[in-house]
Amino acid sequence: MDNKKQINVFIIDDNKVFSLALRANIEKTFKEKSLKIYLFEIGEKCKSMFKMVIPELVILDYNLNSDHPSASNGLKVLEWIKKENSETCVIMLTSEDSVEIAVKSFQQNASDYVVKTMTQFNKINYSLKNIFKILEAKTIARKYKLQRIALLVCIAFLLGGIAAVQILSASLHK
Amino acid sequence: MNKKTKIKIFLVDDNKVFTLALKADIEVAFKDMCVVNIQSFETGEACMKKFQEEKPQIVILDYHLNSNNPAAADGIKVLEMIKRASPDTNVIILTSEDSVEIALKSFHHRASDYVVKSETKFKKINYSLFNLIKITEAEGEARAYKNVNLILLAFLALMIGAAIAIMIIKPSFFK
Repeated sequence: MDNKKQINVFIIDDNKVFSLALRANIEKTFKEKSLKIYLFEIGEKCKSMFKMVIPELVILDYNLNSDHPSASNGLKVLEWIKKENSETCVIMLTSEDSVEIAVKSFQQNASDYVVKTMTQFNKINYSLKNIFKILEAKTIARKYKLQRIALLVCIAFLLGGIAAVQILSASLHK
Repeated sequence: MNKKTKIKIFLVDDNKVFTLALKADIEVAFKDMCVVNIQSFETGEACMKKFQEEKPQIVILDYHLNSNNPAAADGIKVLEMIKRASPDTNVIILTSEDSVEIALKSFHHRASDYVVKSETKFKKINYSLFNLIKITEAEGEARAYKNVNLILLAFLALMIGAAIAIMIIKPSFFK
């Protein structure tokens, strides 16, 4: 694709150092994509921005209450995001590997579930690569859909034009 | 989608019990979404023999494959063979130990995902398959639109051509 569409990414994690490192890693791995990455510490803080930007992708940590004890956990934020815009892809991050979180995230339509181990950045990169592929294919499908409508309109005009000429000329000759 | 997508999956793992369990798990998880056809192999060599005739869309490949056959190639070598035979096949690499080296190597050899065999391995494989099936479906949809557009474009060109031809041969038709 030559005209690159900007992809908006939200990273929601209460560990600032991790968020910054993750942002640097993503920007380096996907240099060829035009990405805009926003960082947030808790889910509550991203809400007004979310409504404005409507990001294509959110990377969301499960534990968000280290600095703000009242912050809602990742699953609650996921639920809110999916209610706000079901098209947004969400990657769930968690520090402890738990079947319960994995299953619940899946039920809430998360796109992926990544455990924070030493290969966390690699795993997130895999996940991002697949999600970007889905987004790209969807954009292409949308483009062709518009093209098809344009073609159908052209054909309709042409048929209409010929029919009009026929009727007009027939009435002129009489 | 009302028309169910057909997906052919190869499992390559030397642990037969794991393969059987994974097969059952995938069949249950995706029974509403698509028709899955799963074939299991113990080594990469056995998988490659069937690869050309079957052409699976997805291969789930373990990194360690030499527990029963000491000479068996490791997962990265098999990944390389698969990608050389068919670059469009999606490969999910499984590994029992979490290692940055295997994760990086798999990424460079264009694996689609990397899953560590932990407690949640089946869940993670399901996430991964779900995304890959979505990619396959979205790409298929784009291709279908493209083909329809080409037919429409051809039809439009034909009509314009016919209109011009009539105008030249029989100008009275439009008068």
